[in-house]
Amino acid sequence: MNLRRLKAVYFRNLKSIILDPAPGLNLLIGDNGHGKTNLLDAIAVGAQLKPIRPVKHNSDLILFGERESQIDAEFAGTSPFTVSVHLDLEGKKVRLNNKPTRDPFALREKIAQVSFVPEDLAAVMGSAGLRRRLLDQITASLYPNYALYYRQYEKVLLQRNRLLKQPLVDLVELSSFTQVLAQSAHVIEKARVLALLHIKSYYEDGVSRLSDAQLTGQLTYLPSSAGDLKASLEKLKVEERARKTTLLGPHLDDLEFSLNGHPARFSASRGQARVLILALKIAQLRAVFAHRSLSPLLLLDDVVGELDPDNAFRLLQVVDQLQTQTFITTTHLSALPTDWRAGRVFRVQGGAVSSSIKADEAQALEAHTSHQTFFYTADGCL
Amino acid sequence: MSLDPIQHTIEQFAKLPGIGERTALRLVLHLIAQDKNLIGLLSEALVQLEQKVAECELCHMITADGARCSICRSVSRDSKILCVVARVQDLMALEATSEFRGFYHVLHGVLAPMEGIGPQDLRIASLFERLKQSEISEIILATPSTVEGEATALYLAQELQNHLIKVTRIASGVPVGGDLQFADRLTLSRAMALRRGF
Repeated sequence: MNLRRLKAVYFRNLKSIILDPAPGLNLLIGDNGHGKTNLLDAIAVGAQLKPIRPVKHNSDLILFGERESQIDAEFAGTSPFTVSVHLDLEGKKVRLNNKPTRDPFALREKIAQVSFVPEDLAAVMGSAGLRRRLLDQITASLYPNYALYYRQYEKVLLQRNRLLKQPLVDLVELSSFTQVLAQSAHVIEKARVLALLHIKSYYEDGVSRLSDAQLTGQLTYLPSSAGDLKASLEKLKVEERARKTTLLGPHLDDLEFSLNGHPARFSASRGQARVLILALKIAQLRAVFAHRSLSPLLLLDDVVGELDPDNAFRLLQVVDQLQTQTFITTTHLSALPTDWRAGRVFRVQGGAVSSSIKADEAQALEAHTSHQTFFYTADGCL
Repeated sequence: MSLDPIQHTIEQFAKLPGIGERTALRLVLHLIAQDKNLIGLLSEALVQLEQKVAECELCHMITADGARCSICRSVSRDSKILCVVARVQDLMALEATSEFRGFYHVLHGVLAPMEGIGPQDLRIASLFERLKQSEISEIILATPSTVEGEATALYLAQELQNHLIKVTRIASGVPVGGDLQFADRLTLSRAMALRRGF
């Protein structure tokens, strides 16, 4: 499956654009603040109904001053289909093949997506919540039902936490909610373990290839309680009642990144963190392909920004071998290797998208003017 | 100061579930303009509801038949089996199948700490009172298969542990006569997990 055409009207800063991407690599070039990432968000809304950067309200997706926005996506492949998403202040209406649909899963079965945003990098060294978010994304992309199970888990958790806040806790009632929680947690943890098992070898291979065999990386699932959650919670009964909240469970699990055998949390440089996260995304993509026979869209926002040319080259090589439709935003083509033979280049400027040109032509053009660009770029993006 | 009867009636209608201000206005205008007869009939019916309908003292089903409902008064039912349901509507749905010939117990809700509903807010104490004075040998827990319904069933199962009564839970799975493709995802997953041998 790949995106053949995307139309977006009044979406963020995009007034009215049409994008006809190549089945392979697509580069979205433009200065900061001109709408490259918004274009990735538009693609993500067309493919998964959600932008790659989470928003609080739908209205955040609509061009300032407008009341509604429309995204139309055409997908080509063995069974082509179209998706239309209409956004207004009240909500979102989705049409699949021109028929209204309310099932959010109808689309997730047809198309998958893997995305990278620079904010993902914080997961390596940041809080466990950020790593859990990545883990949940991976698990949900392998098992579409996971989101439903997780919602159910969160529901039990809310009820149980409220129960623990009561001045007098009925112990039999608490134990009932503990059992429901443990049953629900078991499904979540099993899915996470299986998902990590699916991506393990791809991930280790990815770290090695992206770092030119300089790094070895491992992922370890760290559940908040090893073994029987119900039994462990029973033991914490007194403490839980004192702290008035559930102290163990999938909502507190962690995912450990290790680098050459040491926890990356304390030792990784920014560049190394980038390698680990990108390897994770690529592993996710390969696992979805192997497990669900879906070839996901790959959306990479500002991925080459901080990479040195060798690293950028290796990344593009790996991406190229994935043979999946890819969208990469960057401020300069010269950040990419010179012998790059990519698909299409789109220039994004002031919320408009120029028609595509072949990559090598664009590169020749830019090489010609790159000296000037070098001197005039204030933020030193080169 | 007397109330404006129109506005006052609208406000009362609007307290009903599923009825907003606009629908309430429509209903009131209909009664005034087109069907004044209905006002009398409705008032009478409502008064009867208030005076005659009460909870059955045994199973807590709503009834207009006095202290005990028609099911609890029946002599042809199997007094060894008791089915516990959360709501009146659930009892009605089970009764409509005419398959179950035991007795019922309506809890009037499920455990939900978020809504402030605990065991003391449900008709649980009276359930155990009933067990003391009867020959019940099996209790079927037919609370809904939601998070709260499961917790309620588990709560009762634990409390019933020392009663030497067989406790069962209703099965859940794919709808009979329906295509698998129309079953929702969680039901389908559950039906797979709880599959049985022949």
